[in-house]
Amino acid sequence: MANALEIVNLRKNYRAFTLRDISFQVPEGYVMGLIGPNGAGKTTIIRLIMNLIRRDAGEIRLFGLDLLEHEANLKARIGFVYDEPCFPEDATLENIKRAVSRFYPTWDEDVFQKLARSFELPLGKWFKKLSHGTKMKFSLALALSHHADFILMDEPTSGLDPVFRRELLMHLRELMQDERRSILFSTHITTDLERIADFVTFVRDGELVLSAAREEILDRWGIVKGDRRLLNGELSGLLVGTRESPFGAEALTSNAPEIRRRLGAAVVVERARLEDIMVFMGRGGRHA
Amino acid sequence: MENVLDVRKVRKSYEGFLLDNVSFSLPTGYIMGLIGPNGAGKTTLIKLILDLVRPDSGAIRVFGNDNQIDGVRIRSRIGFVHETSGLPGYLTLEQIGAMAAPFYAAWDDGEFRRLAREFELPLRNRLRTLSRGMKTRFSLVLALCHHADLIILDEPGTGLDPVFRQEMLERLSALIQSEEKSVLFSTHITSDLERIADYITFIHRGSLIFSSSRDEVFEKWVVVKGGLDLLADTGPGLFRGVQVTAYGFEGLCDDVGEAHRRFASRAVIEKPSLEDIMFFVSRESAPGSEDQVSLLATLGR
Amino acid sequence: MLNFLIKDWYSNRLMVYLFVGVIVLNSALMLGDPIRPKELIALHCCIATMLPISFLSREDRFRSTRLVCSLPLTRKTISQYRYLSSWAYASGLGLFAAVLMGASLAVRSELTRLFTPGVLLVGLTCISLVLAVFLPVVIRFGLLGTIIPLVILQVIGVVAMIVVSVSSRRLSVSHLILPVRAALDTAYAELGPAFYYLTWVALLVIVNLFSCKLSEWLFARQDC
Repeated sequence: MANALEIVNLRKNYRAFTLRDISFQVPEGYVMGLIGPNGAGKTTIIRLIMNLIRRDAGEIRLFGLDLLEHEANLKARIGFVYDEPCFPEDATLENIKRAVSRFYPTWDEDVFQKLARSFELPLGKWFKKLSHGTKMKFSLALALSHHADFILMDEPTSGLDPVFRRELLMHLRELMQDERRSILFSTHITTDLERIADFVTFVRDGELVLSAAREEILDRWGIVKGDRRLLNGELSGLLVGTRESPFGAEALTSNAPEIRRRLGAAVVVERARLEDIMVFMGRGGRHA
Repeated sequence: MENVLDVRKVRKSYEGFLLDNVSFSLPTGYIMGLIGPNGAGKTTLIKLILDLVRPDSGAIRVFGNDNQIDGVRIRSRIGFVHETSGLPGYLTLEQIGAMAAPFYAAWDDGEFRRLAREFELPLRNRLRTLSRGMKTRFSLVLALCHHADLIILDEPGTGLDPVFRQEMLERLSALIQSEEKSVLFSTHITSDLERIADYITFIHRGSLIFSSSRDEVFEKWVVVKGGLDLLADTGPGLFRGVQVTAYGFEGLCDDVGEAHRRFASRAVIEKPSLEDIMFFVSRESAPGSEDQVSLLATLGR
Repeated sequence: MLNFLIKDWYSNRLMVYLFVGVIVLNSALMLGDPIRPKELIALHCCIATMLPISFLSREDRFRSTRLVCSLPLTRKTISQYRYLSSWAYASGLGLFAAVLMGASLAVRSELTRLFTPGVLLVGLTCISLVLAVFLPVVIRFGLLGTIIPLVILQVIGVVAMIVVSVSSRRLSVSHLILPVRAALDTAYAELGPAFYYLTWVALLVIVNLFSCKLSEWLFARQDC
């Protein structure tokens, strides 16, 4: 199966932070969610994919083509949404659309108008007069109006109310009916991911913690609850982030089947939600 | 026990927007979550409480006192957490703290530094060098360090990862243990509210949909899922907001007893999440929804 | 390229109106005075170059460089288009100023004073030099970039004044300018008008190409 996006050994050095050894793939026709604590590197990864910042090492391939060699053509096929939409502040939405739409050969004005109506966008208003939520909706409308094959979004639902988030995710699911389309988006709202993501990539402290199918993660990761002593013993190698609970101790494991095999009925092993994984693993760089 | 906050029949109109007849109260020592779609009026309501804008009619009492007459004293006992975009980015965190301090009688510099350390905020750095999440954390520090009795948060979760959101929620929970402090927070991340809010107030298009304790909300509202024929039989009138698909319907009902009576074993009756409630109520007032429902109900017959 | 020009238009319409207004106002204010075409063209062309420079500094202020870099264009293309667009808008506005001047000259039946190669050359030179100097710094440093060359020029001016006043040999600034003027006159005489103008234009082109390459190099390395 072809990959819409392939990232190999990506690296970016900053003064206070280094993103390193990032490798993952987004297969064509699937949705991948990118999660991680603030400052983990999610936005950096997205900026590297769009070549807004230059990488220090690694490869990025879209639809099998190298990003740097085919930059212009590839970008024409990408719909992007950034966490803080930046457009000229004293231009109207209509004018911004006119400025941008011409660069995309596949621009579809009908789709844009339909989205503008559905998102209730005030096309005649100046960009700076809009609330953050409306700015995001405008940004989304632009990204989704040129039949993009790859949709790349950095926290697209932040600041949006649950009702609109749900509608947006429904809309994205509809878009995904076209099996060649793929989506990569970063978010802090894990319930959104649970609704739509097929794959999940978790970064922390500039490193990749895991990248796998969501179902697989739910099968393999679990929260182990039981007596403190059991958890601190020989199994502590399999456990992460042990902490006290009112009933003993609980910890996260990346190998739930193994824990079940070894301890059986002595502990309770629950499926871990994505949010649990993030909370137990903590921020890194700091005591859990 | 007195109410820390009493909003009575408040009305405020702007061009193109009306907040009308909103009344609710928050007893001292509890946490209230404020939910509603963008543009529903949550931020306006918060501004009204802080006396940043004046209502056209109605009254607001905070700590038992009228918020317009005693505004200054009331605001010095309130910690307000919001976007820091209004603060000068070129100042360091330390300087901003020094700037805010004289306004609060109970400002505690030791607490300011302690919290900054705990939240990993570099006091010597300028505000503009901070990421969005860190700016929110700083805003929280500013609100907490002057021993405020009422903490008001306007969408604090935006841009914060689940790890920090969890810490923030735990901290807020711990804060109200003393039963003298209260929290009001408006958010889009309803799963956070389901975790810690004692009371929930839902504003939609400028009107109050409900304001009750969390238990009451989840005891009263249910989601009914069933086949289209069921909908045709009973009609959509029972529901506040219905979602119809080719395979069946989902409807929100605010009367558990009635729902059980009518549908008992013929449909699935579930507890909704706050997000479900918001979603269905917004569909109730969505244009064309009634037509869609009655059309499909007719087809099912 | 057309798309880029249109993008600049829609993103910055208000600035264009503002600058057109300034030029109209300035021309109106000067109606009463005797017109010296070269000086007026020089002034208006310098003002005209500020229009595209304002586009770039606005881009920096609104952080919409991110947007431009995300469009289906390579960095090199963006740099080149920026130059071409800047030239287009500056020349357009300069031409507009020339037309206004032509109108006021025509009223006095002095229209022929406008159509001299000298006037055209002055206009081109102003636009070329200002864009060549400012564009690389603005592309690299944004809003702050407009200040850097101005400050440098100020410093040079102040240094020149100091040198002049402390020098024992009664130097004056004309000691620097007169030799240059003389050289230009000799060149004119030796090359003849046609070649003189051609050489001048060629030099301007070289300066601009160099500036453009510099911008490409700077911009390719920039993180947005």
